[in-house]
Amino acid sequence: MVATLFLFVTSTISVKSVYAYKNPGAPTGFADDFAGVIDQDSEQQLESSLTELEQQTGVEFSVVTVKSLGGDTIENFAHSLFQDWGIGAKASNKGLLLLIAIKDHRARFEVGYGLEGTLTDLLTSKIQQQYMIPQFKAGDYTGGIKDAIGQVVGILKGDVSVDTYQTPEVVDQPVYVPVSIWSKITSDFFPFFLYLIFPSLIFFFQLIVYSMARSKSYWMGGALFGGVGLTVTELLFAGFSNADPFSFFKLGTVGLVSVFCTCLGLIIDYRLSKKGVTEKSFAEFIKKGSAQTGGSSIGFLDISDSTFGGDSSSDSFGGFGGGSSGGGGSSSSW
Amino acid sequence: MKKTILIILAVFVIIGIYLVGSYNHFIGMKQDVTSKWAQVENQLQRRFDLVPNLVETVKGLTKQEQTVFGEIADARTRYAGAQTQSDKVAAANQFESSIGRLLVITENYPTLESSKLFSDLMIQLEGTENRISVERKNYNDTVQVYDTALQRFPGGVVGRMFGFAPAEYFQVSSEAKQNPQVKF
Repeated sequence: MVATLFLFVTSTISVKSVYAYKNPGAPTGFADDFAGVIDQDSEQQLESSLTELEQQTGVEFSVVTVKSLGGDTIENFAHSLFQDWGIGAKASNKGLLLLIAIKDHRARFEVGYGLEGTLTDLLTSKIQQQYMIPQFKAGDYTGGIKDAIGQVVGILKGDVSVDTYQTPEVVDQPVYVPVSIWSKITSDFFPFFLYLIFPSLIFFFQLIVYSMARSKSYWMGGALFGGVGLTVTELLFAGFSNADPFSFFKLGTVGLVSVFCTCLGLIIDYRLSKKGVTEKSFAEFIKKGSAQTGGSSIGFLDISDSTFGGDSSSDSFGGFGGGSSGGGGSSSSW
Repeated sequence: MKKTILIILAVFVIIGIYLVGSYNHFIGMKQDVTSKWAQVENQLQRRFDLVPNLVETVKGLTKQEQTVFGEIADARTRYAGAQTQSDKVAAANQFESSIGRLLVITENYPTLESSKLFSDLMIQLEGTENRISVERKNYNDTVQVYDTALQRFPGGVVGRMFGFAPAEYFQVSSEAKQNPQVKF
């Protein structure tokens, strides 16, 4: 039953069809003319204009032309490309993508989270309608792109007023739920923890065993084992509320395990105390122990770079900052 | 004897550390799911706020088609009053199908298309629909990660012991799958 339910759910949510988005390639600059409709000079002009924009305002504005969408929608393609290239700095998410699909006669502004307040859907739509589409209809791609980019750059720099475009729009902030550092550390790195902690654990336990053996009494072992057993079982049942019918079960199990652990601890301590240790100091004990068990466990420590380091690709362009978009923007067609 | 005691102790504590790490891992995933759902609600709310304006522009023209406005207002109230996630999803889906019907009606009134206010609202609505679609996909992706982790062995067993329940996917009703398109 679970299997059929799972299949049903995945089939309704999966969008992987034959006509999936394909990455057109790595970005070579802010202007990427994969469709080859912009002449060299204009492309260089655009490149320098957009580089200047980035230096002045921190906005990463990427202009991309592609021949075809491969059967995908312009919304999906633009969003996928935006996320793939990570347009905009990671912290500020000030990224913008203008995508033009020549054969499909579709264009779209995809706006990053950080620019949604400035570049509203209405604004980008009107820029397309007024400055770009008329020229596209006439076949002048270079002119349309230049004009549209000129407007947007002007708006972002503050030179061009947006009064004619704006109508009041709802602006929302993404909601971030903070995760505590400690839980992130333990969940991401706990395999590493294991490797590091194991040798120190051996040391720690040898200390316990030594103390238990040295002392004639055997209550310490009982207390220790009982305590550990109690906390572990408590943790295991952390999800149960006290009103549950299972709470009786929980109580019973916790009690049983604690009693069992305490007895175990008492017995172990008793046996150890009886046996005793000849070494007068803990240091001697350690030395003797290591000789028997044979060396340290440093062999475990084999943390390869891939655990922590990421890939560092260095193009001459340098790539984008890793920002993301929430699907804001507008599309147009001609 | 000493060695076996050491080993028993070591096993105890290693299990303890595994449990702590596993629990925190599940907490992290659950937080992911919660924050992504908050994003979805953000966008749903955005759409709800846009629509009254849309309704106002259309209402004047279509005196006879009042039922659809009633449905829209009803869905909005349902969403505002919804407590659980599945209630919200149902209200949102109902709202979507009502909007779809409203848009079909507006096609009968070509004067609307020339109305600046109406076309502005349509652009905003389309943008909002796209945002909802993106956030919904992001949400469903995190739910997939979380639900799969809960079903795995042995991690899932531990997760369920700690009381983590699987999250629901945000599914769209089949009739509401059409995005409103802006035509010029």
